[in-house]
Amino acid sequence: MKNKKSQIKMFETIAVLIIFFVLIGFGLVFYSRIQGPQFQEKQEENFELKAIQTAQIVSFLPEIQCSSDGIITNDCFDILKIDALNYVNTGEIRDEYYFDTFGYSNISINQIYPPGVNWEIYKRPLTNSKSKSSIQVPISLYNASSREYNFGVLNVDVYR
Amino acid sequence: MKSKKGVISVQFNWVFILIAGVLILLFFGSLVLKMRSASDVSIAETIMTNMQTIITGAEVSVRTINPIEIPNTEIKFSCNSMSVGTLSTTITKNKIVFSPTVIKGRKLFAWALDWNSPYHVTNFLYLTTPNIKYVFVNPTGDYATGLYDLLPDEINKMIVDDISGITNTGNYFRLIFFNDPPEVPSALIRVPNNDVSAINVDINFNKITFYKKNGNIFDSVGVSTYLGEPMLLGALFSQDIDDYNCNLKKAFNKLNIVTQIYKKRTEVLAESGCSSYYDQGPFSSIIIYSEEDNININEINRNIETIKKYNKILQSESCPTLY
Amino acid sequence: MLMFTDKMKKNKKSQAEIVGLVIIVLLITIGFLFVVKFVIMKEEPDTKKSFVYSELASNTLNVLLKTTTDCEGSDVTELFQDCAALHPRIFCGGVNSCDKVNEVVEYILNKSLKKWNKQYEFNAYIPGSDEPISYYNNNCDENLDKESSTYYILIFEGRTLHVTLDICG
Repeated sequence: MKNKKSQIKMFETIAVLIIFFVLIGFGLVFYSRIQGPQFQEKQEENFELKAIQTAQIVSFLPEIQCSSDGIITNDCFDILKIDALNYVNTGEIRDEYYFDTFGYSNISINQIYPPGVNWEIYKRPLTNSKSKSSIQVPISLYNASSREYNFGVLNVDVYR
Repeated sequence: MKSKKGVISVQFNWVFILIAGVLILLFFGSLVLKMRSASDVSIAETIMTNMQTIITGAEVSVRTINPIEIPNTEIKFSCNSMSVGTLSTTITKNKIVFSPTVIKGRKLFAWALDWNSPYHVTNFLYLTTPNIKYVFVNPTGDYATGLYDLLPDEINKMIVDDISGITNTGNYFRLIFFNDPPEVPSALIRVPNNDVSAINVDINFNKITFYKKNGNIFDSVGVSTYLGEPMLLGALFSQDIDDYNCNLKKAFNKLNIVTQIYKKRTEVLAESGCSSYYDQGPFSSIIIYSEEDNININEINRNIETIKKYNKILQSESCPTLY
Repeated sequence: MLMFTDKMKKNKKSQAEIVGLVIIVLLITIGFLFVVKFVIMKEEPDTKKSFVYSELASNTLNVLLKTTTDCEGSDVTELFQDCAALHPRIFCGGVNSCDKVNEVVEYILNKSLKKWNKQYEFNAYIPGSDEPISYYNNNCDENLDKESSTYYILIFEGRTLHVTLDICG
């Protein structure tokens, strides 16, 4: 009789242990389920941050920014400098320096008013990319020869 | 017999508790260790992301100093990379960061200056901590005192007329001498060699000599050069000559690229016929003398002055300026 | 007596078990509430949206007002100033400055913000006057969150023209 009681007690202990570990298992599964999306979200946020950083780098690129006697004008690109950059941005400079700066991305400028000219500043899309983050920034396009400001848009696409 | 069974049963219970207890403790112990390492990686990742944002921010806004609270971890910097714990990331060619090799402590100062030659070429980011003391020894002349004044007040800096005015405050010391071979202050002779370093700036020839402390003397570790105050400040903030030279190369590479653009732009402006001062010559010279193995500060300086002169003339002629 | 004590003991044990059950139920409920708070009710972090919206309004307005038009080489700011003046003097191809500035602003907004499916409200007005000089609304509801940018343009007799761009959503 006592033997049976001890057996029941032992089964009870084992059952408690099993339930205890099952609960911990549930907890762990639950925790990993929460952590998984959080990690993905963090990655997503970092990727978007990178896209913003790339847009910021382009917006403040000394190579194309408008300046007068060394004083920089924000949100403004000099058309003559853009043309010159397209001329310079070839070979080693494009493949090493600007790739190091912009990575896999496309950077272009569209002149909206008056309509017409478009420039491709940098083109290095990632084939088979998982996703793309695009940012458009309105900018002034300054023509130093005619001293006119046109309305343009800086398009930045960053791939991963 | 009955009591023997009881003893076995009690012993079995204890053995059972022991095994189960060890298993449970092992399980939770390993879980804690794993969580700790995961948390370390996560903190390192956050620091890296924030540092990247700070470095990018320096390219956008200059002349403001940002005190940044950081976790008490070691952030290691070199000219081309940055690492926290086991994680590391590259510092790209367009980002020029002058910093000590190791940043420790809870506070970090990030400060940026624009580098113009004479047109805007890039921004330099300087990183330091309150624990590093910059001591200007006998800075005679406007240039030296101007350099001191350029450093923000938040940075741990001081001026002394003589090295005898330096006391050991337990900081890391960076001594800046001007046209004067450095001597180890008597108060710092017993300080570990790695905690004291010096540079001697030759203002007349744009040269900087880097020194390492070796007991009661300073040993020269090499001579480098600089173009403009922001670059000279870079030497102040750099840990050693190798890091400084690496950043110097990055800066001159950028000057080379930007000058190529200005040269091409000048060529187009010359076609407008507004003025005869759209001369590409000075730009061509800067391009040649900013090549990695051909850097010549005097020649670059001479051409910068020519460009500045032409720019003023173009302004007075109401023509589009060179920069 | 012995039976009574036995029953009392059993009763106490049951009470303790019920207390244990209640604690477990409470713990599960608290855990569940945590889940609801941190997982279900968590707002999506949108770094890009907050950055883009805050920059977009001020950038667009700043660039727009600086833009040179094909009307006597005047920029948008000058056209607004002329339009708000008592005696407008700018005419180009039979079009006055008010019509011209509206034409340019509408064109630029359509080709930029509208094309990118952004909800916006553009308003150029002199405080106290009945009619705005320029007003465009692209589904910008009053209830929506707004990132706003305003520029003040000096016109006649020290009065100012307010040019506001709200990006909504």
